[in-house]
Amino acid sequence: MLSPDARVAFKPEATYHALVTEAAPAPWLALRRPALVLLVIAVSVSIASVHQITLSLLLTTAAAWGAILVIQIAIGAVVIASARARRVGFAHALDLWFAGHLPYSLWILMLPILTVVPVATPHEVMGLSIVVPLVWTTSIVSAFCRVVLGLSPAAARRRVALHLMLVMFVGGAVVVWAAGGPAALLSYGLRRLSGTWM
Amino acid sequence: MKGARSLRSLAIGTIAIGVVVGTGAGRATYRPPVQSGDEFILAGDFHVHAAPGDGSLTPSALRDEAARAGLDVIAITNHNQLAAAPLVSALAADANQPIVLLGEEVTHPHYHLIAVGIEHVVRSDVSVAEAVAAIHAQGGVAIAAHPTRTFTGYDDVALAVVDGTEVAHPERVEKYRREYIETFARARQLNAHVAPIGSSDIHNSLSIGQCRTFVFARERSARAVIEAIRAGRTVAADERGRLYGDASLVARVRAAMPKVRTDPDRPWRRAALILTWFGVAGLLMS
Repeated sequence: MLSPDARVAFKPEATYHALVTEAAPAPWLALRRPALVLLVIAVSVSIASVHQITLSLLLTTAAAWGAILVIQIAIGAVVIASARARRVGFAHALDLWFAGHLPYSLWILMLPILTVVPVATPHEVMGLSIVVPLVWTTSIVSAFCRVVLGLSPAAARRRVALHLMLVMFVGGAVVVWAAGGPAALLSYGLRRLSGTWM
Repeated sequence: MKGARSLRSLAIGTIAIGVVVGTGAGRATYRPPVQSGDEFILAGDFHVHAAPGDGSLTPSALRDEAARAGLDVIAITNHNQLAAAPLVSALAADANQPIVLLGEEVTHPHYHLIAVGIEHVVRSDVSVAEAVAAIHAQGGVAIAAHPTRTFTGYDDVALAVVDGTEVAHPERVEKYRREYIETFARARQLNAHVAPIGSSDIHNSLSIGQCRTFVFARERSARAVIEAIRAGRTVAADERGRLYGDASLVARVRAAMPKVRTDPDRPWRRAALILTWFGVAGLLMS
């Protein structure tokens, strides 16, 4: 009854072994998982922001946040493209890469609930709670590298580290940009820590 | 396999019903501004964050939400960048929608300054007075954002040149609420025309217009809004309904009974988001 994505989340190695033997999906079918990620983002942002779902709100929100998906595809492409011994083609590997997105998807979907907890600002709740999918995804990426990309355990560990580094670097860069630059972000952090504002 | 397919179909159906119900119940109708004498009293929120930036919604979605909140004008003010500018420009002036102005929250470690009605990025590595001069050179107005005492950039030189200060800003700490009022009082001693401003500073919550500014504008246009702020013809309202500004203007706001948030279809909207949320969760898991 569980989707392949849910099985990947809970039993990554065994599920990837099963998925890698299946025929590659048609190119348009390979888009369904990224499309689902975009739907999750659009629904979650709409609910968290205005407690509302409309078609136009979903479309404009998906368009505005599409860059996140592009970044995820780019990071996946970096991890996949450099593995020459992979057991499936690039498009199929990218599809299986997105099959491991469930921890982040669930986290995004939970944000409308998490961000109303009155202990911190929504941005801070997001910043702290993202540790859960970040750590959870590590085991999924490791299994992906070993099973789908055919890498040795040592090489898989290096890819996991590369993935983590890319996620944190790109994510950090986006946060710094949105906050108005490093000085602005630093001064905000210091004010919050010293309790002098907000 | 068949069971999983049925669950997936059920999830997709639930999402579709949620979106249809939500779209039907989510229409935001803009109501025209109230008039007082020769002037319109426009309700504004001049400190709103949008995507792309550290806000979650696009300017067009924020405009719909502004209409629901009974606002006539909003300003998109992201930190030190104008990436949302093309999206703001795409929102053509429409008599049946709130006005959307382009702005920036000039973000410096020692001050945050709202620039409204600008076209180019205002540098943030300068003093308040220099930033204000750059904003004025573009025809915009400069508003001190959440000016607590810890924002040390707001000395007398700075407060003498700003066009307005946020005297009403959503606040959980009473001390900071008092400091906003003190800063406004200091600014008024230095410049009798400084405008009292109320802003929500929303990023990703349902509180646009929670604090707002009533602008006494000679017409319903961006230019008239800027002119009124520059002349200090505003009244600020905080989230508790307290009004700040000249007594005569406050009395006119009270007499005119401006628009407030309306949400007649709230149960349907709530049902729509619950259906859609569970539909998406089901789609992820089945």
